[in-house]
Amino acid sequence: MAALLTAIGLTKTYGKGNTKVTALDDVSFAVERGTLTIILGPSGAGKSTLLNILGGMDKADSGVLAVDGSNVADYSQQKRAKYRRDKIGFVFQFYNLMPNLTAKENVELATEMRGDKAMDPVAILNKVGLGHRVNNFPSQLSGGEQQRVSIARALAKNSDLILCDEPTGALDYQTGKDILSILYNLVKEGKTIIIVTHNSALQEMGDHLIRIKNGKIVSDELNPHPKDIKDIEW
Amino acid sequence: MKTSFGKTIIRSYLHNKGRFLANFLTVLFSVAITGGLGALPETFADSFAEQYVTGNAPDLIVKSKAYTGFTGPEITEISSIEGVNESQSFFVFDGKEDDGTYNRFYVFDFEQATIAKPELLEGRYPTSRGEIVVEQPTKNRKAYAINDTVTFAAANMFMPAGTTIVGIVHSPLYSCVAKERAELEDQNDKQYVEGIFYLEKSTLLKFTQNMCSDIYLRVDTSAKLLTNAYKGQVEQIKKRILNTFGEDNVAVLTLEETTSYGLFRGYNDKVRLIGYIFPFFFILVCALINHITMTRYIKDERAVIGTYLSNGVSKAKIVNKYVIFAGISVFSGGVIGYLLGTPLLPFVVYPAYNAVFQMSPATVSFLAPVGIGVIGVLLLLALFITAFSAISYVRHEPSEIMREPTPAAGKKILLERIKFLWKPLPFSFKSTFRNIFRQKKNFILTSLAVIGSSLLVLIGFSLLNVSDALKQDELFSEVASSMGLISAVIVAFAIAMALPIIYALASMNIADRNRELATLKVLGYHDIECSMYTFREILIITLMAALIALPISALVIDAVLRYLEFGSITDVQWWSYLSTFLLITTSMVAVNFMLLPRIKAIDMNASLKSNE
Repeated sequence: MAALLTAIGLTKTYGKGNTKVTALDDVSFAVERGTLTIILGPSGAGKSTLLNILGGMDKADSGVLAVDGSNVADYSQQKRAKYRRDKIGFVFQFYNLMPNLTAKENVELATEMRGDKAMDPVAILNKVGLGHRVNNFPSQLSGGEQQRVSIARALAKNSDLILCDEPTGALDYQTGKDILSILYNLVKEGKTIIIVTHNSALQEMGDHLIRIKNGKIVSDELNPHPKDIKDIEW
Repeated sequence: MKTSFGKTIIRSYLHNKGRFLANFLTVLFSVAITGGLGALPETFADSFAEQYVTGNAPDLIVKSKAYTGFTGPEITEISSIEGVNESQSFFVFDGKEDDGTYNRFYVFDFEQATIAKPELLEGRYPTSRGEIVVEQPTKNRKAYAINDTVTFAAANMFMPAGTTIVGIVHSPLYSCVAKERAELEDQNDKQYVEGIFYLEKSTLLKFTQNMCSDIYLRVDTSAKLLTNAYKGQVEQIKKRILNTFGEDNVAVLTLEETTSYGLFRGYNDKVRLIGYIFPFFFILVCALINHITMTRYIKDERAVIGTYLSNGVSKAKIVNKYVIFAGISVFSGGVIGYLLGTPLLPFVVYPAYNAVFQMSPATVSFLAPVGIGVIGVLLLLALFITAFSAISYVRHEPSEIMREPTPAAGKKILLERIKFLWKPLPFSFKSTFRNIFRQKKNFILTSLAVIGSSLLVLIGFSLLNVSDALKQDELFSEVASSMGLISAVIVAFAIAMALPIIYALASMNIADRNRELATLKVLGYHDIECSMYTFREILIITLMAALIALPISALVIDAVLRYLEFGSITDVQWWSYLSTFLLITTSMVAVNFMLLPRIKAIDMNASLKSNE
């Protein structure tokens, strides 16, 4: 399988002089197409920084981030916006739905800018089990339902990579599990997903586990036999 | 506890200097303008009255209606009427020249004259037959130079052909550039005098020396000129004269009834009325800005308020912290604005007034009831708005206060029920319309600002249209010529006032929706698309409000013009409405451009953080 994304020597520091903090220190890894990658680390490990760089929201100081053969690390602000639009689907910890838009319209917000390449919003909402809630506003939906809309929004863009930031962080145990099954099934259908989390219980469900600590990768291993979500407890 | 609470207050005040200045400066500016405008009529009335005092103008002018004028005994009788201090009899007539123009001639005893004796500006008083002095020229009075020789057919009984001008004079009774109406036997014949001349009585032929048509009177009064007490006393004496001689025989004019003063009062009264209208706008502006400033201040200190409350600081103390801040900033701005505006504005406007009315130098007066009223209203409003806003926070539990307020929930709006209108709308417009009605406060305040400034802009244009229509009127032709500038100032002021308010409202709206905009950025929206997301709202609110503003403004302007007794709404041209609309909407586009950096600066990380 060809790598969808390759990071080579990504480094990012904040501040200057005495207050200088190295958030990412020479981080290198590769993500294959159609896999579920778990990036695991405690808070302050540099997860958010890595997520920002992978998602095209921030720029690394040095290193290469090759996606589909071009170096995202070189992109201008404009090009990064286009990268986020075309290549990335983003699932937020706190869902981040537009409060004034219905579930369907929230998905349309993403599909609108992808034009022909986008998928049908209602079909996608059906897929995540929200076919009966398409005309509800976020305030009328539970946390789990809102996260499903958020996943549908990321999915409907039909982008190469779905990035999830602590997707179960704001949800109760059972709802969290339901959300993870949805993501897991998407990978089975060929999607490439990266989940960034501090919840070590998730480590067994991925095809690929990257542990990160103090801005450095401490382990990077493939898992040929990912565990079914049903069998994972935390 | 007490001192540390005090310390946090001082630190918080110091940290919010910008907000203090926002309140302080808007109030300062508003009070300076409204207080200054309010001080104009009193200041100028004093200064106009003062030139009557220096010129020793008569309190009463008694005119004989008899063709032969007053007789010697009549003059004695009038001067001995109770309350009359001083009298001066003379002869005056308006005469028609061969070319159909009119001149006014006075026959004065310059040696003896004390009341309204024309002040010599140039040359000398006449001393021999064939010499004459002339009232100084104005726009409406012909100019003569010393040594000019003139021949007046109308006055050939008093002066030979080829009379020489020997002096240029000024009488306190002719202190207005407006045309002086000629007094003719036919009251309906409207003619104006083009020159006012004075002859020396002793230089005339004997048989013309004792003619007397008018008597100037100074009355016994300690009251200040043209005050109500003065007017009352003068009226009494006027009645006595009329009772003695009968209205068929004499006409008695008070100083107020002279042409100059009548015009001055008409003009001054308009300025007074305008001074009553402007405070409404300024109060609206200040209330909006105070409201925005204080609600942001309180909102930003949510965490602090929550901490105060959980540490047992009383709700009243917390509310007072903000009320005192608002009170001090508004009151100090008001007082300083008042002290600057009331003396300064009359000083700035004086030359414009003095070009129409010859006045004594203006004396600085700090008395402007309008300004004091505006300070009072602004202070009350600021205190009320702030207390209301602060109370709405401290009523809740500390934990609730500290949490970022959850954005208003979305819901279907009325427009969605009208399917044939809603269905064809592009998706982004549907979102925009829901947002407009979701954020009602923003909608109402923005509309208010747009309607207020549209009204002011249209007032500016209307004044120009109306004064163009009134150009042929006597005094107003003077006023009309200066109206272009006044209109431009009002229009510029209205725009200058609208821009920062709309900017503040829009940036407040952006701050409130930081998370939404950050999310859009993460989803891949470009900066320009994100700004369109908020701009569509501003633009649609502006378009709706500006359209509604036009008929509202027309109604208000109609009422204002009636109130000022100045022109009519039908004088207002169609292009004034169009220009108002265009000016306001383009200003809003400008605001959006100014806000672009704010959108660019939104940090996408804001989308990743908790809402709680």
